[in-house]
Formats: sequence, structure tokens, C-alpha cells
Amino acid sequence: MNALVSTTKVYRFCAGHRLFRADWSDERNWETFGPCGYPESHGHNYTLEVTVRGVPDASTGWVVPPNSLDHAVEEHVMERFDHRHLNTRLKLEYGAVPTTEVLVKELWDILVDTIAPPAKLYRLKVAETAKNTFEYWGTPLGSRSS
Amino acid sequence: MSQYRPVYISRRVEFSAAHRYHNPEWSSEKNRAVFGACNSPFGHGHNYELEVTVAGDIDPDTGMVLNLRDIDAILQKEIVQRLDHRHLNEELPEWRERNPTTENLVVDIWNRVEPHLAHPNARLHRVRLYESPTLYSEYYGERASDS
Repeated sequence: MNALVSTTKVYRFCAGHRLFRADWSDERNWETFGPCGYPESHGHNYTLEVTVRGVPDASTGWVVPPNSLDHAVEEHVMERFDHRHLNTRLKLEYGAVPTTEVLVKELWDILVDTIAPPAKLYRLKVAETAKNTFEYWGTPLGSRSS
Repeated sequence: MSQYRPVYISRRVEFSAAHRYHNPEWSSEKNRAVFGACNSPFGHGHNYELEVTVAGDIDPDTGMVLNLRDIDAILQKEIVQRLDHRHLNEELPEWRERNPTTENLVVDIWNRVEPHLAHPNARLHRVRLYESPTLYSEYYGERASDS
């Protein structure tokens, strides 16, 4: 069988952050970020969906062994971000502020090479809250047609 | 857009509304047969959930594609205030003569919301409407090609 299948595992972690720019005035910070910029910081129960894609292995039936995915996420995501403050843990190379847009792209960079080949990382989805979600398809295989 | 792949950001809002499925050109028997309980003359209701997804580049100054607070304000003004706690067929002219199915609603919502989300570095990507947790329609702004 050579069907291309996607499998998603859901992980949860808790982290704090504060959305603000030290080089902006209080007024500009409030206008842009509102309560997300309160100086005491706040936090979220983040949900991370990791979607891998490939042809299921003929002998196991898996796209990737689920515990290999668990180990990759534990080592590279949980250890780094769970119960931590994102402002100090993110590289902030895609944006100056630790928004979930910036988080999802940095998580892609962290995880993309940890997936056991021949499967590939296809999509990451991070839910900051039940109402705010962020998705990223980082490679041409995973690009959505517009 | 830039050389970066876009990030897709989504905001969910809720509204509750009543509707009824009925085709006045059909007999009551045919309406009942096709629409079943959804044809009841008094209508029935749903707790809808609307999820709107925008695709774009991260603004490096703010870390955001668009401010979700602004997206929420657009959805509240254009959709929730219009539909929440209404009987769609009875109270809204656009649904007097067309069934407010999830499919028809999602296209109407796209058309209402899309002009407000035009931005140099972001675009409306998808509108998804949950009639219930187990039934949703989504629309990407596509049209079927001419045959």
C-alpha cells in the first residue's frame, strides 16, 4: 500500500508569557497588546497537535512509532517550555514578541528534523485558548493551496 | 507575501440561532420527506461556533499576523450581532427565501467578513461553521470551475 496518511498526536503544556515591547511606550503597548501585556505576565494551557505524514510502515502499520514522537516532543518541547516563561525560552527570531505565531514557527524548526524518516513533519497546530489557534505547514509537502 | 510560509491564525466566536428548512415550491409532503424534523414550522435552534482562519506573515515588530482582538471585533460586529439569538428565516431578509443551511451560511459569512480582513500581508483563508460539535461546513472562497 502506498497511501499517504497523516497522523496527529496531541500534547499539552503550560507556559507563561507577556506580550510587550520594552522599546515602546506604555500607551503603544496597551494599544497593541492590551491585557496580554500586563507586567505580571499571564499563562496558558497550550495544546500542541503534531501531524506527521507518510506511508504507513508495512510491518507496524504506523506512519511513525508513536513513542518516538513522544520522546521527541518530551525532549525538545516539554523540557524546554513546560511550566516555563516563553519570553526567556523563545529565540524570538520570527518576531520580537512571544506570540503563538512565533511559538509555532520555532516549534517547527525544533521538531522538523526529529521525525523518524521516511515520514515527515506535516503540520503543527498550537491552541493558545479554545478560541485562538495557530497552524503552520512548514514545507512544500505541507503547503495549503490558496 | 515574503519567502516565508504563512502562519494560519484562527479565532472562534459563538452565536445561538434558530432556523427552519423549507422549500415553498414543494408540497408539504415533499418538504417533510426531504427535511424531516428540520421542516418543523416553528424551527429549531443551534449553538453555532464560527472559526475564521487568516493566513499571513508574522509582523516582526509585533509577533502577530493580525491582532486577533481586531478579528474578534469584526466577527462580533458583522456576524454575531446580526445572527445571535435570531430566527434566521423569520428575521433576516437574506434567509427568507433560501435555506440557512450550514453550507449557505458559511458562504454568506465569508462574503461579509472577507472585505474587512484584506491586508497587505494577510488574507482570509477559511471560514468554518459548526452547526453542532459533530457537523461543520468550511469554505475557502473557491468557486466550482465552469464545465
